[in-house]
Order: sequence, then C-alpha cells, then structure tokens
Amino acid sequence: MTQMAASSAASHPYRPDGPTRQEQRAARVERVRVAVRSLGEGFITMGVVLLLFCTYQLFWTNLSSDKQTNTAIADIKKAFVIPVAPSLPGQSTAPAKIAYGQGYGLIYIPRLGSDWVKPLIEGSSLSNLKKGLTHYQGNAQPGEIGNFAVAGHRATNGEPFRNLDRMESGDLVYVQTPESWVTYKVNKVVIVKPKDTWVLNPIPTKNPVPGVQPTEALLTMTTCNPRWASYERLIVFGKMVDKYPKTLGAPAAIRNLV
Amino acid sequence: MYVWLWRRLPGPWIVRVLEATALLAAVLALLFLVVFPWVEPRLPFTDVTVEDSTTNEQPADSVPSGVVPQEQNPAIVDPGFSTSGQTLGLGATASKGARA
Repeated sequence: MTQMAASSAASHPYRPDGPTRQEQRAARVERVRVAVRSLGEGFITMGVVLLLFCTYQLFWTNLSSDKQTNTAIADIKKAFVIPVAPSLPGQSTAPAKIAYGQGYGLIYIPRLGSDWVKPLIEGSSLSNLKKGLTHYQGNAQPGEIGNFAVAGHRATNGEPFRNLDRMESGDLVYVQTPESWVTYKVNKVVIVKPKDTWVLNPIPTKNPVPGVQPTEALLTMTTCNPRWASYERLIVFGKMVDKYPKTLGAPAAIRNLV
Repeated sequence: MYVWLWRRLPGPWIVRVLEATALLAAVLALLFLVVFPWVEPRLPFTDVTVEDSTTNEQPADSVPSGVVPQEQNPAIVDPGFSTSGQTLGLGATASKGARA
C-alpha cells in the first residue's frame, strides 16, 4: 500500500486527478478493517467487563462484607460489655426498641463451622444483609413467643448462609442478646416459593387456624435456593429449647468462641 | 478504538503508558464503585428474603412501609429468666414480608 502510494505520488507529484482508483479501494479496505477491528475490540472489552463483574461478585463483595461483618461483631461485643441497667420497680421492663440497621446480637451455628459467628442486624434490607444476618423487622425477637425470623445471603456479600442446606433436625442455633443466651433446635428444613411469607408467621404453617395464639418461641431462617438463583427459598425452622441470662455464661459448645 | 486512544494521548511513550494506566484505573473504579453495585441488586443472588410483593420497587434502605408497628405492650419479660424462659409477648404478631 505504501509502495503503491509512493509510486502514484511519484508519477503525479501534485495529484491533479485526486487519489487513484487503487488508492480509493485501499482506503475502503482500510475503513472496513478499522470497523471490524473496533467491533472485535468492543467484544473483547465486554468480555473483560463481564469477567470483572464476576470478580466483583465472587471476591470483592465478600471482602467488603467480611470487613463490615467483623466491624459489626466488634461493635456488638463492645455493647455487650456495657451492663444492662437493672430496671427499677415500677419501671417498664419492656426492652428499648431496636433501631433499624442496628446490630444487637450474635448468632452461633456450630453446624456451619466450628468458629461460625455472625452479627444479628435489625431489618432485612440489602445494606443490612451485607453486614450479616438480618432480623425481619416486626417479627419476634430472640427468646420471645412467636417467630424469630432471620435472613442471610447464600452467595456473595459475605455469604453467611452459604451452607445452610447442611442444617439437619436437631442442630442447635445459639443466639446471644444483650440480656440472655437463647438456644434453638432445628426441627424442619423446607424449600418454598419466594412469596411464601407464611414461613414468617408466629405459627408458621401454610394453613393457619384462625384465632389460635402462638405459644412457642420459634425460629425461621431464610436464604435463596438454589444457591446462585432466586426462584426458591431455603427455610430452616427451629424451636427454642433453652433461655437463660447472659451472666450464667455461654453454652458449653461455643464457650471458646465467646 | 484502542489504537485511536493511544494516538490521542499526548506526550512521549513513557508518559502515554502512565496516562493509559491512569485511565484504566479510573474506568475500573467507575465499574467497581458505581456500575457493579448498581447492577448487583438486579441480579438474583441477593434475593434471600420471602416477600409479598412481586417487584422490588422499594429502595433497599428504606424502612418498609408495610410493617405493622409492634403492639404497645410487646413483651412482659420474665424477670426470673426461668429456663423454660419464655416471655409472654405478642410482639411476635409478625407482619408479613418484612422487606417488601
């Protein structure tokens, strides 16, 4: 091409006739070449961006969540050290309302790991879910009659419930609150549809009997199923088996973690 | 595209390398801090709650409007913490789909 341009330039130094036919053809070919190359570069760029997104989902979100989880755990442990003021006679014993987004408890599940501990955050928004397990606002609190329901990520963002499918009946879930230790025993693992909010009911049954008041302190844990999709929810049910004041010390099974 | 960009960068070779690196860093920051966090909630991995609504119109951080406030006398705490240890609470009257 350069040779061709050079030879034509030599024969027509001032180019009175404009570019030759060959030159026009060469320019057309060059334009097509640039277009094809740009398209290819665009595709490669998109591929790289998708790979970067995978990196973001699989590593970045976990790194940033782990940091937030550790901060939340440290804050909650700090708050636990401050003694709960004893209520004076005549004073309301109702606990202070927990603020949305506040971390107020720790959950230990030995089945998910010998050192598995996650913070309990009030309200299951996406930003709260990045910090740890989130309590469905409005549901019972740990140890109360009703249904203590929590949600957690199964994939990405710290993925606290990554292995929730390993839970079996009889597994124990320990919840530490500012006042007490609450132990739940898992009694059922089910898979439901995302809209099956009955699992959050004080008595979590599909067909509730009207007028029946809850009498038990129950536990519901929810996460997505299958792990990388969202068309189902994995639900783990449990029932409270023990509750005692914090001052008596941690349950033996997790004493080394506290 | 990249050739065009390279030609557009001013300065000698070594300065262009630095400029290109800075541009790349800026693009990566934009992706990781703005674009990807925006895309993420639109993908299924973050759907871990059971919900009533079919859409996720609500901003993630807002307090759900559909939540029924807890009853005024939510829990009479068992003062003795007996091991049966249950609190008499109607605070458990759960509202469905806490995060709608």
